[in-house]
Amino acid sequence: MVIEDEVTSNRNISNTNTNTNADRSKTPNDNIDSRFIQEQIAKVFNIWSDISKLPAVGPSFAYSQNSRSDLKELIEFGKSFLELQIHLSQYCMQINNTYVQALAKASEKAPKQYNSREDLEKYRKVVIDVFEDAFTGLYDSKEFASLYGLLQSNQFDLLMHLQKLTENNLKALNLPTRSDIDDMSKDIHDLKKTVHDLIRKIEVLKINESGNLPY
Amino acid sequence: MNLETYLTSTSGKPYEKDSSPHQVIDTDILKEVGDITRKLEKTRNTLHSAGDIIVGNTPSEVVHEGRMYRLLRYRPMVSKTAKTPILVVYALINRSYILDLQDDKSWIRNLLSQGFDIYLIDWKTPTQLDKYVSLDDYVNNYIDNCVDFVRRKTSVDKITLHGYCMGATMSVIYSTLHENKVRNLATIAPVIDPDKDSTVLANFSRYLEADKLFNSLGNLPPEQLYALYSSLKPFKQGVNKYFNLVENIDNEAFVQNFLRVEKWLYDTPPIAGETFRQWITDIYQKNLLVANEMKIGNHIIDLSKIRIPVLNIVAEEDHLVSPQCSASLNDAVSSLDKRLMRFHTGHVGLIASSYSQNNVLPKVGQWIKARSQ
Repeated sequence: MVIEDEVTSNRNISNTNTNTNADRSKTPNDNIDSRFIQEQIAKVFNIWSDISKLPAVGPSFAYSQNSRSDLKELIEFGKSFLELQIHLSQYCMQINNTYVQALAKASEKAPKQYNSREDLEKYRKVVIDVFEDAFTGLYDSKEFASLYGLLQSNQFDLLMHLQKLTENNLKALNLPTRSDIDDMSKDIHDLKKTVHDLIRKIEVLKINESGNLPY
Repeated sequence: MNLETYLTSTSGKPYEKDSSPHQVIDTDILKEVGDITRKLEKTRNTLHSAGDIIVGNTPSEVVHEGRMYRLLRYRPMVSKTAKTPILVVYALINRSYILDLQDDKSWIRNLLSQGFDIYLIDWKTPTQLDKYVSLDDYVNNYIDNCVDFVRRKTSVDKITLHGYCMGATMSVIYSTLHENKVRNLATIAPVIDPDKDSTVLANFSRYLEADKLFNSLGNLPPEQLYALYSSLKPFKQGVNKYFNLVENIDNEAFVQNFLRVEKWLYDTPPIAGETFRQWITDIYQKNLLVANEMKIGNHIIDLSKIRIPVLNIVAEEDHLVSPQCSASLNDAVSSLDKRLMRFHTGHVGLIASSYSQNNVLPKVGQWIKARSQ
């Protein structure tokens, strides 16, 4: 729409000029032609402008899809990163709380006096036991396991966003992507399995024919 | 404890800041401090100069090989006393040399000395190209190939299948599908019924998004396993073992054993993505195996199809696979000849310790031998 407004205003200026200066030297046909051409040009620009804004076909569409997909991945990456930060801080908090609680418990159990090296050794064992109980208790809990699962899930998400961004760039450079390699790996795996199964079937047929045992 | 408290308690006199140290610190303490420093120094030097740590000493040869496995045959040590050969199926976690860590703690060597013919499947390291390798491939392709090879080589129609941990679970699955090739099934700490598994490992596995892991990472990288290891007995084993090392640094046998186990702990190959995905979702999260609903390839795994003699060996203090999780196998199979052996040790202690040499292996050998003629 911007282009149409500009063209219209130019046309008005142009019309004003023609009225004052050159109007007398031009025929009515000239005015009609130039107006027509300007209108057509405005139309064409506007159409292209709309196409570039909301592409549905052609190379513009493809180009804009790439950049839009990159942008989307970056936004998703940001979201996952934020979630990771939240879960990481919860994770650190749980670890820290457990550590502080264990430390308090270990201090409570500290002997009043150390008379020998054995006393120190005994206390070392107490400290190890207290910390072991506290942390194993934490790791055994559903809450921690679930949080750890979420934390890992966020890391996997981040990695997948990065992989998609990289894939787009590799495609732009006309290089094979990880998805391409995965597809090939899957094909090779399936082919190997088919070959293995066929060999097995042939062996069974041979055994049936000869009546020999398989070894 | 601070130095002030320590000095007060050991000297029996109140510590005064302005008093001369000579009045407070007795020679015993100085000796101890000196000894600790010496041990720390020696520990540092030992760890820096450890070099190659020798494991898997028992002579063997590779008799068959595929892209994902090597089949080893161990050289007999005494004349054969059992007709049926044993095929050991190792787990997909870490390396198989834990079964032959050192001569006096070797599971393999002990069985050889009892007169068994021993073969072992040593899994190779999967690459990203192997991310689609599934449990179906492990069971119906690799293990089946090895079973057939051993049957051909030894001219027997059935073998004894002997699996450890994940390898035990795969051996169980294999036996449901190929019972005609298996005479005896001997499992060590198999994962069968994870709903009864109270370990940290099972707890974490229940909340792991295995599909996402597969899509993002492909194979399970060793770093993920290391993170998991650090949460298993983090202080009793994770921290205390290093204190124990310093304490026992003058004991050469202790140090060598420590180094071997440490080497094994951090010698971790990745696990093929699809295999791990199925392991977590179908076994740990949906518990399909014990429910007889797990699908391997085109087959539904029905544990009740197992009718062969079954020996199930579990460790009471197993912190990786709860004994109850493994013991469910004995209820699930239809075998009339089945035995559950429980031992007071841990997951690794069950297979690589003096305890296992003296208490576990004689009984296991006896059971297998009685069914191998």
